[in-house]
Amino acid sequence: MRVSILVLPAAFSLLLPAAAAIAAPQVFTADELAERLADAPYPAQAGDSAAKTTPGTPAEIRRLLALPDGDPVVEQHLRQWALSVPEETLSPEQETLLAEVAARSSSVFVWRDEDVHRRQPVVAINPAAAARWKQERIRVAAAKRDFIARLNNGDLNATNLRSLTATAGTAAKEVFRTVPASELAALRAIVEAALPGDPVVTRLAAITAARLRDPALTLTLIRDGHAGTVGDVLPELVAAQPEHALQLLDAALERPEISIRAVAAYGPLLNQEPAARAKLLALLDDAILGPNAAATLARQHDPALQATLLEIMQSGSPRKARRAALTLYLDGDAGARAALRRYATEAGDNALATDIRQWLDH
Amino acid sequence: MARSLIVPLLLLFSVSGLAAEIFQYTEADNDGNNIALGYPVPRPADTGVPGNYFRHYDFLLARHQDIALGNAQVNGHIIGKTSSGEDIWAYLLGNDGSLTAEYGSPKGTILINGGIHAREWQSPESVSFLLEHLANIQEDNGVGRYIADNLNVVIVPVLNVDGFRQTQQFWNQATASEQTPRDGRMRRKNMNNGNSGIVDSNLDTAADNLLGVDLNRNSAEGFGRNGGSEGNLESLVYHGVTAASESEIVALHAAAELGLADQLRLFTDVHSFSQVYLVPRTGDAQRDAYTGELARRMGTSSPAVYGVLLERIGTPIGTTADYFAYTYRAPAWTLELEPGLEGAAQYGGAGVSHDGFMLPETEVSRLHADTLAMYMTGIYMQAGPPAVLGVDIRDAETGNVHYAAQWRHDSERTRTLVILADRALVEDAEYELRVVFDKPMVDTHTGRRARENSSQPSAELTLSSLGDQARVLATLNTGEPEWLEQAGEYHRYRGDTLRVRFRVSGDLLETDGDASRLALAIDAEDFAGTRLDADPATPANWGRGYWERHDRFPGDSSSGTGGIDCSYKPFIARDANATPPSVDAGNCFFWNDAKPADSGSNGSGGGGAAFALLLALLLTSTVRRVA
Repeated sequence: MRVSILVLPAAFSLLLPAAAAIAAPQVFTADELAERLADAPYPAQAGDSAAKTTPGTPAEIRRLLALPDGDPVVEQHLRQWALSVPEETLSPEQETLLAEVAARSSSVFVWRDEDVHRRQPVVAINPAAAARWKQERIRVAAAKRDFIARLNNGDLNATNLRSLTATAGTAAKEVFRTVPASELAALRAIVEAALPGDPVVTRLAAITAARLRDPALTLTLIRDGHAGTVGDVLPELVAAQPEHALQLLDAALERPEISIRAVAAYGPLLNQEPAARAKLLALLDDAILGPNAAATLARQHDPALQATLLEIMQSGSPRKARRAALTLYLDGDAGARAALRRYATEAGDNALATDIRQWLDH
Repeated sequence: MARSLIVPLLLLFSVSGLAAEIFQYTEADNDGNNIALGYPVPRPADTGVPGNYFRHYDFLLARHQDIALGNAQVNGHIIGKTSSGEDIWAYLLGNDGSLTAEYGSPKGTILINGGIHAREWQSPESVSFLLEHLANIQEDNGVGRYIADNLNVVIVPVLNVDGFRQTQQFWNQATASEQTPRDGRMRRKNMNNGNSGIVDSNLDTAADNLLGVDLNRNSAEGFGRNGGSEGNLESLVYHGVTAASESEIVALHAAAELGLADQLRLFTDVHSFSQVYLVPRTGDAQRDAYTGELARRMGTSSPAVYGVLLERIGTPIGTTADYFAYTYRAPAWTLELEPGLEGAAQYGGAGVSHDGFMLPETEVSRLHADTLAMYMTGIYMQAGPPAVLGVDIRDAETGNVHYAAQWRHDSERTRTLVILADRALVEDAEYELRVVFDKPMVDTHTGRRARENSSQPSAELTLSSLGDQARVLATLNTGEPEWLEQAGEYHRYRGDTLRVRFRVSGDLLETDGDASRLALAIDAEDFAGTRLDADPATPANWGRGYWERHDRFPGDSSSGTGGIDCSYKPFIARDANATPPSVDAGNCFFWNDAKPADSGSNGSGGGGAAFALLLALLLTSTVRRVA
């Protein structure tokens, strides 16, 4: 086996976090790392997916923690062990060991894949990050138990939904995704009362609205929810309620910070809803949303649409004509290019025709 | 099967045509072939408007094109085609691509490249945000206008379009192994399969999953050398058949020609991750030193500070940065955006290998802002070092001009100081001094100025005597000067003019005379921290790798770093109608400190800047700054 451990260059040591500087960092190439891990001498081999469900014994983990830093096999084993720790039933000893791993400094680095020659090493195996994440997952599991207990006891209300910590918020989202629909329906009024809310409340309302296919709650969410979060979940919300999609998207267009994510969500409706197509064609003239409308329409590769776009180029406002041309360029199929060619031939030397010729010449 | 064994086995699979193992990234599910990142998996957003997400290429392209189509100052150019035949776009910003700046000097060229490595999504986002910002500020009469007047900025938002599309299609999937994931979301290379075709968009067909050319090993300088690339088609760093064999690389090289290639003053190839500038050094000491300093200033202008890693001299490996560094002697580097060495663990991620390529979406808007600050610092610096264009001193009450001097441009290489007014300053009158610079000295968008976190002002104005006993007589501004940003007050750009009010004392007169010449010394830094050209008579020019004639003092023949401009010599007299004393060339004793020891001190003494500043403090009572 070919293994070479490279000495860290001085420049690299300056870049290391302070905590790592006192460890014994080792840098490997990706190939070397793979070879080292493949030769792992431990019964539960590092990288073995089975290791995720077969935790090492506390004694074994203690032994590994006592070994010198910088061994990829040890680090990988610790990482896999941390990921395998049960979130619901961990022992006090496991909890202690997890805390030790979480405080560990990174000691195994790899030259970034492309940097085998000399350049920049990055952390290759990070048991501490895995342990910290696992600790958070354990806290989430506890928060889920607490949330479910409050749910069962009727202790949930809008006020305490609004004041969830980040961890409790994650737990709540996981509960909302998995509780039976009948229980979720019971939560609906609480969630709606918690709006307008922060990203967590908005996400809870979105899960509720999507699972219950509830257009009224969705409209409230679109109007009052945290804008960034509503934008993230809008396609999912619309897809869950196809019969109300147009109404929901039209409402989303009314709120500028959400509208930037709403335009593309019209895409799946274009073949069934003439109103959707009309909406997007009108939006071509919108200062902000026009390019989104162009990209959405272009994905249709629709010959009938291409003809309409050519008409807009010939008679629409300058901005709308530009966006119509852009739509055809983004479409890019033969019909779209033919429409562009026709315009470039007939329009003379205006600026748009010049741009179009560049598109067509390449 | 141990995941660590998958790499060599997949190589076997790839030739035997067996199906690939596919991994799926998730937020929190680690079952089976799922890999929990510890945060939501970034997914392309179907919008072109920037926000806390990564935009889908369809929408990014629409946005870029819309900017170009609707803005006469932004010109889109198709610079080539990808392996699959997609257009590769570059956008040229800079007064419709004119090649000369004011007074006939050549405009510099800046080239910023994004998306050369498909999986590094931070790059197209960051570079697109720069394009959007520059397009927005071209008519701002401030920094944007200044940049447009002096530079052609060429931006390639996404070079490896094919690969980028592949990563976006498979936004949560990859093949090969957890430790060394390939293709899908983790594709790095282009889609050239090495056999006159392209890699397919099917991860299950393992035969071509590892194919493609590493575009950042395909340039001529160092091609196949110095251990930085490999000849194996399946290698992550496969360099291609020959240098510049890839159409994407030919396109990028051509992009430099959209401006004046011999005036290429900055090339940045934007990657992720590890939060560092990887800086090739060619062995040209002046170029290398300036390049390192430019990278340092850019890196420290981001709130999330970036490091600088200077590479060993003369070890190119075929990167695009190597190409532009050696071919044009331009400052050039590979810029690795955040996260740092720990990858996404720094944001609470679970420490998954290669998660640094998947920046959590919650960080995207901040990344936009941080990287914009870096780019703007570099672009602004490469438009030129600051110089004073003129000063005037007016009676604060009447507005009568007592002293006015302006530099007249005789050619792009020389200026002459023209004295437009020369009347006495008298005791206890209040004056208003205006100093006009050739660039905005404060960032008109952020308010940023030099020495932002320092008690020192961004410009220090001092009156000194010109006699044999040269000394600082007064510091005119003891705090931050007033930079003018209102229309009608500034000269050409918002923030290019400062104003300060002051009174003079009869103590400034030489003891035995009725009138005495003074020297107005101006020590200023622009908002990137670059000092004034101390000799405006010889404008600084780009000298293939660094600024020439950025003088520390008049006659400076070294590649200077700027200094104090002492060109302006008003006079003080007992009588307002006194005849002006002759204007001796005199000497600004500040210059002595800047000159090398063996160049002589001209006998005017002074003892250096530290002493001068001390003296300035002692004598401030003789000139009272008016608040």
